Amino acid sequence: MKTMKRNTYKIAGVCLLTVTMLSCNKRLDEVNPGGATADVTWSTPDGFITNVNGAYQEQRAFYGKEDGLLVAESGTDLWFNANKASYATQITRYSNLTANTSGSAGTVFRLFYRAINVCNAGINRIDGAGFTDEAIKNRYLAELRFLRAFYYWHIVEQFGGVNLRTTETSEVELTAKRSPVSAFYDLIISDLQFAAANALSPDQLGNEYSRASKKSALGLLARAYLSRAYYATGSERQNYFTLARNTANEVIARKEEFGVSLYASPAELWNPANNKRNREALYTISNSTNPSLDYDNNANRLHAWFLTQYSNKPGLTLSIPYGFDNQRRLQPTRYLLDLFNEQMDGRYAASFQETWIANSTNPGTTAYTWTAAQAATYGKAPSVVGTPVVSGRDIAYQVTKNVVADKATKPWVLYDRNDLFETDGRIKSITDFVALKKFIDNTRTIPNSQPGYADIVVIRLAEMYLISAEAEFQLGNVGAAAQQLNVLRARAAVKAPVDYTLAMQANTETMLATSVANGGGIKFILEERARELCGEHLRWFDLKRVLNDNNFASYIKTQNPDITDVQDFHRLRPIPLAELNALSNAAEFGQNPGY
Amino acid sequence: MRKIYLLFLLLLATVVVQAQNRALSGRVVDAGNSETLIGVAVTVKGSTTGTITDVNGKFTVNVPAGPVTLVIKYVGYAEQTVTYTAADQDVTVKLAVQQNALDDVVVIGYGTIKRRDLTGSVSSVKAVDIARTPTHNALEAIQGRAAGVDITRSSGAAGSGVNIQLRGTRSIANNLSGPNLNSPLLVVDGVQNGGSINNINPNDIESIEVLQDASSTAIYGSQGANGVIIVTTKKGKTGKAKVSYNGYYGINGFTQFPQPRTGDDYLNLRRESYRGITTNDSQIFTGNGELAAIQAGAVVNWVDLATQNGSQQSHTVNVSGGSETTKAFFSLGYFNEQGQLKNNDYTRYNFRYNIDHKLNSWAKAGIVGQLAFSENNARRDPLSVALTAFPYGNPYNADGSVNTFPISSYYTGAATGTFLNPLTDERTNASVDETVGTEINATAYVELNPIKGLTFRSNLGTVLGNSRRGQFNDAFSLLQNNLRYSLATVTNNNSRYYNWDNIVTYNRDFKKHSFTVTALSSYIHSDVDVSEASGTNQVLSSQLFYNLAGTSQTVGRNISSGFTRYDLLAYAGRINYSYDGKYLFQATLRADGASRLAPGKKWDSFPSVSAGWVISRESFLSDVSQLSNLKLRASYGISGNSALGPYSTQSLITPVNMSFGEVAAPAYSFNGIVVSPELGWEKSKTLDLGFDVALLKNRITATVDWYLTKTSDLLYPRSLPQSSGQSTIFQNIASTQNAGINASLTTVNLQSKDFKWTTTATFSHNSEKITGLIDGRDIINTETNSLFIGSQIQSFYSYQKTGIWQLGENAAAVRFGTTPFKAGDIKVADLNNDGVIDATNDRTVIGHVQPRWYGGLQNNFSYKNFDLNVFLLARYGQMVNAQFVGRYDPSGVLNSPANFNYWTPNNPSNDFPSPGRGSLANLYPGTYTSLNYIDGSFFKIKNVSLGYTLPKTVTDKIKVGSLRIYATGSNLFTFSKNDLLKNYDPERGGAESSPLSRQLVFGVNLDF
Repeated sequence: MKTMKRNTYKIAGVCLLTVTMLSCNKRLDEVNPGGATADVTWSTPDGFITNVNGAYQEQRAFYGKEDGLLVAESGTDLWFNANKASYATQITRYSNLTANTSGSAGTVFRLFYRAINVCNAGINRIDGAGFTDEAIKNRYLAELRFLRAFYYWHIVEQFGGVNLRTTETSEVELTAKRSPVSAFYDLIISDLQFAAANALSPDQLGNEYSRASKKSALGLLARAYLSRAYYATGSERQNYFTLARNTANEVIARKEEFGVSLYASPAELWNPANNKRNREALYTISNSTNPSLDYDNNANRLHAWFLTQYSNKPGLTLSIPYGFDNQRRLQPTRYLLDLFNEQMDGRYAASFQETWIANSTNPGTTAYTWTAAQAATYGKAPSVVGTPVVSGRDIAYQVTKNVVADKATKPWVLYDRNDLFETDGRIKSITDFVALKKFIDNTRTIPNSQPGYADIVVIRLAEMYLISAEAEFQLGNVGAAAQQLNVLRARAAVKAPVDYTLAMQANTETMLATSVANGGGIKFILEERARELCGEHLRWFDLKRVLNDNNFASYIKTQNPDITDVQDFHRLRPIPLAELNALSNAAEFGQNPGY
Repeated sequence: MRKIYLLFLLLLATVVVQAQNRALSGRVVDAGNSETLIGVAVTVKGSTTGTITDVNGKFTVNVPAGPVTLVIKYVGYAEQTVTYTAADQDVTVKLAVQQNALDDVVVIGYGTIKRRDLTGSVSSVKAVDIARTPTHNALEAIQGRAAGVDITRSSGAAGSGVNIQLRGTRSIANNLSGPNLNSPLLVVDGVQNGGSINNINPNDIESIEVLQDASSTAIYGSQGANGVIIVTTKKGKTGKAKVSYNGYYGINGFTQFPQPRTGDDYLNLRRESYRGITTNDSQIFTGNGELAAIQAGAVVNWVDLATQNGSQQSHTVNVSGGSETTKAFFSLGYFNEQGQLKNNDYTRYNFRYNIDHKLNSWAKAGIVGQLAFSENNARRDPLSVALTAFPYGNPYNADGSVNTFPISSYYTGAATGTFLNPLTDERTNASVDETVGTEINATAYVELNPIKGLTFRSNLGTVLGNSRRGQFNDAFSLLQNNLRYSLATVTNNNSRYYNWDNIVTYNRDFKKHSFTVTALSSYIHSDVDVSEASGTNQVLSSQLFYNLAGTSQTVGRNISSGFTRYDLLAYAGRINYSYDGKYLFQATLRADGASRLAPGKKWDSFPSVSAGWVISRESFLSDVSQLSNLKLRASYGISGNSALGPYSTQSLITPVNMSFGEVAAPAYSFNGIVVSPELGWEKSKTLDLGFDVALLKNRITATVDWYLTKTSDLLYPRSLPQSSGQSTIFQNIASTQNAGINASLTTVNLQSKDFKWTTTATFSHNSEKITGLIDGRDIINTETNSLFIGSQIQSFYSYQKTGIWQLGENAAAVRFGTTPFKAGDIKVADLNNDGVIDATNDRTVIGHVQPRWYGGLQNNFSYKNFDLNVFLLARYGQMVNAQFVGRYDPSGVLNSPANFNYWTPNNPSNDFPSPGRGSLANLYPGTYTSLNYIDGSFFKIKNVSLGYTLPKTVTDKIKVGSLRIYATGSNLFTFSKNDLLKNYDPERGGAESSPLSRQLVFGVNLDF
């Protein structure tokens, strides 16, 4: 009996333990003190700013990165693969461009829609974010709407009338429908109009100068009106050209209010010292020298992609002012170089580098002395053997678009027009080319490092003159168009020793009145844009806008005969296969024509 | 006891009567560890004469003159019959532990069972086999020794772990970051997830059991959906204290890795890429100093320089013993591996303590656990760089230090450039990646027996981990190449884990009926916090990561931290019933709750039933003497898997870097995952049919299982259209089916006095397929991440390479997109014969990651004091994504393996496409990946071990119990089906970093 009793206690104890354990059901509630959800974070004014800031992110995946540059500049009349290499040829030459090998275009599609979703989230959530000051709320809404318009402008120009989304994706969505291009522009224009009215003035931005402000919104709006006009006909077309002109002119008129102005010369414009807070900028992508503040470790690599390889030449070594030459991507076509009359037009010297002074030793000391072996390698006359080349003084390397008559006797490595190009304009040299130096980056501190921290000017004042001129031209106001172009041409003119200002302006109106067949009219405007904006992430959009489904391919092939695979349907990029594969109504949605 | 006296009397009588008889004396030892065996029955065949061994394992038996046959029997060991000649004296009999002995106790979930009563599918590997492979990881040691378990070493880096998978893939949501959702549950001494297997000294392990079918794993519910591996560590035994030492030392290296092109072989490829463009070397070798280095003939084989022969050693001392009330096992272990790369090593110290104490007649308690301390120096693998680097230059400076820019001396100008030495990380303080970790496992239990048959056990297992990873890479390290600033990072990880299980077991036998009822509750809690700090531009590189205050104050400091917690709660019950050991039955029900699932979906329950029929015990088979055992088994059950990481049902946003000017701007973006609160458990229904058979007095034993697992509601991160701006959404989307056969066969082929040969073979075949997807459409994402109904989960979806377009063929008749093919291009199958290769119509499933079958073959030979083990391993029918095959660079700018045969107009190869100016991806967009996917089938000699046990006379002299010395070679030879895998060990798949190395070690097993 006693044992029985003891056993009872034991069993009771066991049961007690088990019951204790059963009572911890509430421990199955998830505990996540470190996590952030959209609902919580973006519901207060302070937290909401993280949405606005996050919406800028993907622009920085475009500017300063290869995908952005290739999509926006290559595959045009101006550029071909550096050294004729086979690199990203889907984009640079339209070779093998398919839905599944759309390269950089596919990346842009994915990233920009990602950003649009963040913008949509912010735009639709801002009323619940608890802003009490309407002006402050609208200021952030203006930034978001500017950004959405920015992303959609790229999407619609690259891919045409695809999926226009204005709400945040919060549940499974496996279908998409196409919207007409006009619907995209309706959204873009209304977003930018709101932004232009409600964004901060540039002077209110202070040190955060690279946020979108009124000048950015108006600048992008002018660009959007201009490209919208080309989709329209009749009076609607005239209407959009008028709006484009008026908006561009408004920016020009308000430039003092916006604190922007043209530099006196192209050299000043592209002086690396003027890179940060560039006076001409309407909208800027800024990079910080602190890598933890940048989008990624690459920051800005634009500086590397247009350079020819100079550092393997005698007397030269990698340096900051000459740049990082080991990642060559694009080289200019003969057509681009020949657009410039470099005697008169200062933009050539400010944009391109043709000569390199020896730098491999201390300035004033002999970098090297020509040997017979070197003379043989570089095709020099025996007379150069024994000639010393002094750092900081003597030319070590020259690549020129012109013909040099006596190049064998020049005591430096020299490639001239005949080395660079075939007579039909195709690229001949597989090693050397004239380098675009607009993006030389003095924020770099080590010559063989790749990231640069320079800013990228996305929209600048000069483009407003070009937009205004193009709109005036399309409205039939050739005189007004010439007037706007001449502002830039006057600024571009070489002033000393001879002042070419008048010469630069002299033929503008005549050229605008000349037929396209004779190199005038809209072709002249396209050429002026190339002279002013080459390399600045606009050329593909310019060709896409101005050319049409009958002349896109033939125009590019004529100016850039190395591009042989381009076809007219390439005016639109293919919808990435990843998008179509994920859609349950892919057949209904459809691929862009030709692919 | 009385019987024994009688026996002695009888013996004595015999001796007196038969004066011409002689006395044969000898000793009986364990064949595995040479321990003496006490109380072994020794009888003379054909007579009633017999004896038992004394406390020293010795016996003396009177036998007739002439040859005599002894029968030696001992519980738990295989019976042995040995014939001796008249001259034999002082013989040693080695008894082997009985293979598949039906009385073996098998550890199952929350209890043990005799193998004869088992109804599920459980493989078991014992200590002897575990200690045979020289590795730090016990799971690598059981590779190929248990059917149904596919184990491969994950990489050749020092201290790296294994990939393990049971009976195929069920969960799909596998390739996301986070835990491998198909990996089995590890139970260490009753504790679920009781620490990392990498931290357990294989010498401390008594047995490893692998529970495979649903009825065996059901007691673990959701935790056991992918099988359960139970590790039981050694315990003290009552008796004299024993001290033993096990150790080995050896070489680690002789790595199989493709050799890079050197000399003309390299130059010709690069020149060939300019065919028709130029033949002028100065236009071809344009990199800074390249041409001069070639002209100087400074050839380098970077792969040779990057690899070395490392070493591997292990030393374990353990003490075991105990009284009637207290038993203890202690061990101290040291393991060190020096990898095949300089500065890559792994060191581990283990302190284990297992103590059991009997408090009184109805209560006992104990504490089991260990402290493991490990230090791992990892290294960014330089082999891919070494394989592809320009094969010329001066690798070292005159003083023997690494020359950072190996061809800088071949051109004028500053001693810098862009070609960084592949060995750059070998410079002093250039690159450090050191992880020191401590893991403390402490498990305490109390077990009460209040009344006969009733046991209550409460088991509290804790695992406390902390680790610190410190990384430093200077401006010229491989990692910071391109960026050119140094980066120092410290990451601290603290984890707390506990598992509290309460188990009540009631056991009752009456007449021929036997019942066991088990009820339990189980609670698991885990929380981990991580903090990380990094800085750039460390002023003194010698400070490495030890002084982050020395990094630049203004530029590039980063801090972050994170926290993850989850909880699991479960209740389960099990009933076992046996009638006369003939009819066996088991039923289990478990209810599981997981914190990571959404409210309302957290709980689910999982039942299973199983039955066994021991036919050999039926009277109608009692006459068949050849049949020692025959049992049929069947089981069916449902298990679940919450195949998601914690917080997967919360819509999270992630911080991103953003600034305006130099002003930091806090920013968040979506993390790409749209959540759906509807997510529920994945469920697997498994049917398992099997039989165990033993023939000819257990000389042949075999176990065969057939299984069919149907898994439904599989969670999958489905790709959303890119225009949604999000990437994926988790959905219960798919169903899969795995069916297969596991078999193992052990035979004693030869057994005589001096020579014994046994063979164990395991064979596993699994066929896996997706049986359904949410809307019946295949899900096409990337080449390695798409799902097709009817195919395996991890399938490769690409173009089917059929060769290279040759000169005589009409290549231009087929186009890729709009571009016609030409001779020398990769030729792929035009599946719909429309003359256009396109991604939608011409890609297909060309292979899969899981093998068609895999198996192991273990042969043990012993001759007198020598023993030889040969272990072979094969995996067949899997495809690998061979990274280094994709290293072929048609432009020759990057080097590639020497044995790659590329096409030229004069060399109509079908292996690799024509050289040209651009990378594979640029010259052959789309089709180039079809090169990488190749047949990874292989067969390898995994281990050969030769041992010698010193004779008793010698060991007595040097006053030790027993001493065995041995040599073991691992990963010795590999034979691959595909020639491109020549010079490569494909066991770990196709990755090129950290290839597997060979080991050759020499060791001793010593008992005092």
